[in-house]
Amino acid sequence: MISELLFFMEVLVAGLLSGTMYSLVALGFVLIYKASSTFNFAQGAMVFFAVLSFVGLMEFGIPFSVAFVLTIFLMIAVGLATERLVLRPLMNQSEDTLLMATIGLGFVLEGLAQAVWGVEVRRLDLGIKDSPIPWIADNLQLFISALDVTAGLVATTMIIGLTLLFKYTKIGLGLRSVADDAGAASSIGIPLKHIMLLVWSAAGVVALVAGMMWGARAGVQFALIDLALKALPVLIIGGFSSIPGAIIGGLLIGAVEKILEVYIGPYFGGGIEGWAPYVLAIFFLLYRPEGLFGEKIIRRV
Amino acid sequence: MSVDSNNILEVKNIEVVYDNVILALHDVSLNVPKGKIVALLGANGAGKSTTLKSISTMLASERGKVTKGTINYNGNNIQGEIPSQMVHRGMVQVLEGRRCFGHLTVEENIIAGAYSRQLSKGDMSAELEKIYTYFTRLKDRRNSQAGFTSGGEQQMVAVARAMMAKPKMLLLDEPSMGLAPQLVAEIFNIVKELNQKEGVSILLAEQNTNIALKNADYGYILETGRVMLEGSAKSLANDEKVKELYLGISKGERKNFRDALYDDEKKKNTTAPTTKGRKFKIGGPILEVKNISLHFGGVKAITNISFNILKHEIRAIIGPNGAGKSSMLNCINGIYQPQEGTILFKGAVLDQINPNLISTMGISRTFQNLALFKRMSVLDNILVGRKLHTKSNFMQVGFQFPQTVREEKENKEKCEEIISFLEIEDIKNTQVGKLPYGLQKKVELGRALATQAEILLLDEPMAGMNVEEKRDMCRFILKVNDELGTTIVLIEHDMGVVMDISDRVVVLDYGKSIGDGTPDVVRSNPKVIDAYLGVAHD
Repeated sequence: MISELLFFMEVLVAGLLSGTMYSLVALGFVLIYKASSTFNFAQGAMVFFAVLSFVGLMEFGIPFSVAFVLTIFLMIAVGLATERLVLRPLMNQSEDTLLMATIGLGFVLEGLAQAVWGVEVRRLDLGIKDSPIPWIADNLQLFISALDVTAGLVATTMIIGLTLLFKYTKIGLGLRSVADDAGAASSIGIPLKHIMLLVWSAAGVVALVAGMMWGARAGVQFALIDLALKALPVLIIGGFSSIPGAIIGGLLIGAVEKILEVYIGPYFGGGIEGWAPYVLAIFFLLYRPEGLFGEKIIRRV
Repeated sequence: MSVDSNNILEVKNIEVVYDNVILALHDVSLNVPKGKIVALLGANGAGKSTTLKSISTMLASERGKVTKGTINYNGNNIQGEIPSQMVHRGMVQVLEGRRCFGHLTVEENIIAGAYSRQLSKGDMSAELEKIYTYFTRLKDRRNSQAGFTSGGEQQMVAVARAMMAKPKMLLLDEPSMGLAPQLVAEIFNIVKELNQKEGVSILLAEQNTNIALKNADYGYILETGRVMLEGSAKSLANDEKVKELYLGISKGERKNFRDALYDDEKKKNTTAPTTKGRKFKIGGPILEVKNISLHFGGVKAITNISFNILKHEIRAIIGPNGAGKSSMLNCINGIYQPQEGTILFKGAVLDQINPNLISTMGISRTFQNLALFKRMSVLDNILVGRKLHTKSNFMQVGFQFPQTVREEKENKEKCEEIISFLEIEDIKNTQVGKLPYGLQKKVELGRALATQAEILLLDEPMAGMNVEEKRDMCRFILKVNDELGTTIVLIEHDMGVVMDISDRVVVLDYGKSIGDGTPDVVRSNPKVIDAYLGVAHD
């Protein structure tokens, strides 16, 4: 009995922690969605582009911290270019148009990364082992990966940081205003292009961090782009416009898919992990379309 | 060309084009003297909003361009400026339609208005306090989410927010739209106060000619993108043409709409027999509301209301903002389920209903805040109303069965009929989102008509229209009632309209019924005069 409970705990904790990795990716989507009500299809490519550049720079013998800072600047440059070359010309176009543009942007980034850094899979060593933490394993009989714990801490820090930024700073207020009504925001002098630039840069930095976590686990490779799509059910469940929603959604998906995989998976011949999150997402779409934390759709009739 | 230093704004012969093809303004010139209020009047689509947006440089974001002429603000040409720059230079626009940030609190909305200024914490709270002295109503609601405040409060939030930028000049677009007379007066009092105490110059676009001329110093009347008339507010208010067209006062005795309608028809076509009088006599009750109460949590929206609607009559529901009028309509068409009471339709209790079911039973409605498909054409929007009368399933439509083809043809013909009935043939292929508000209202009426409903529920069909357009709308409503026999229930703020066209009126105030009867009875009911017209008894 005890051992079964322990096993369940282990599955749950592992699920929750891998969920934080989803949350990290979802966070990038939320940032963009808040500012332009668009699902940013390029987010996966941004994750890939960011971490590949980071690893590439390290290969030149540039130290970790310098490479990290350089990549952040690079992602800000990408944000700048996106605002100038994609968003500004498309200002006031429909959300569908923007969505298409992000798909295009994704391909451009993907191709660019390939052209510059080549196609082979790279290893990323953050100096954190993706193996159980010995102390916890010995004392609690729980096998929890150090990388998972790190990802959890990083995700939590970023979420707290971003929430504070949105809630209590002037730029955050500006961003929330733009999210509600860009036209009205611009009429009172909130400069849309600054807000857009800020958001895309922030999304770039988030992409880098998410990419580093995933890269350390699965290697820096193209598969990272598709992995970002895992964030879609996370967003549907958490709410596209909510930062806490991104983390709760991620945790929920992580936990549910692991538990289902372990306990029900065998009856289906395994592989539940791949589709279970989407089934969950469909239930949410049916019964709570704004997600757990999404902003209630305010409509007067 | 000399620059008059007394004018804060000088617009000279501007022409504006949207999407490189649609000419919105032909030739507009106007001046705003420092510290004055200037009104820009005219019908929907006359070019008022476009003029304001040209000045605030918001035009570019709507794919519009000033192609000719100049705009000088504070002595400098504004060419090449962007909105945030204009705000820095002290010019702020309050956009049409109470566009506040719905998910932010009232106070956050107002603080956002100071985005362009560098204020310390202390300065910010001082500024806030100052704003609240003008907008006392908002102080109590400072922590409410703006999206859930009333229409009047949202308009105040929008103006207060603009004032936080400390503008030298304010561009106000339709602050009165869709608001009850008392609230309109309240908002205009605040605007006037801001003008006098803060010295802010104001350019005001308004449909409500009466209230605009009462508060402005000078006025311009636009028609189809041109300035037709200008003058001091006083001279405009006394101008015969303005009186007739925009203030609804004619020299002779004022005719009611029904008479005017048939006079018009006589003039148009002398050979046709006049059909004065209705084809359908008012019958027995078709809809009965019995002891309805509705509350949302602790908030009582409707308390114990009963009234009935007779077949073929025009029934008006009136009352101040927040009186429960829209809630009443929402109960009738099944959006809300009242906690107490019953609604009878043709003698049968409406139970477990939803809007879908209701429309199949023959009750159709229009909405206060338009609910149209903005990216579809006028014709397509009206065709949607035919959905109920389409029997083919999607397979039949897919394979184009003969009866489907016939049905589609019939539907299209029916819609064309409605379009010519409403006299909107010239815009039938236009995307609805691009039409001015007044015309969109007409399209919504068209869609409701297409359902061939027995009862039409109209929620403020004339909000945001000038006198001429209102008269037009009245004509259509009467025509529908007279010729098709459709029973009409309407919510309206304009008392003149209500008294002229309705057979009976029920008056709501704070969710209670305070009067019910013919217009004459209601008009002389002291409770109604007090609550709705806001006239105190001596």
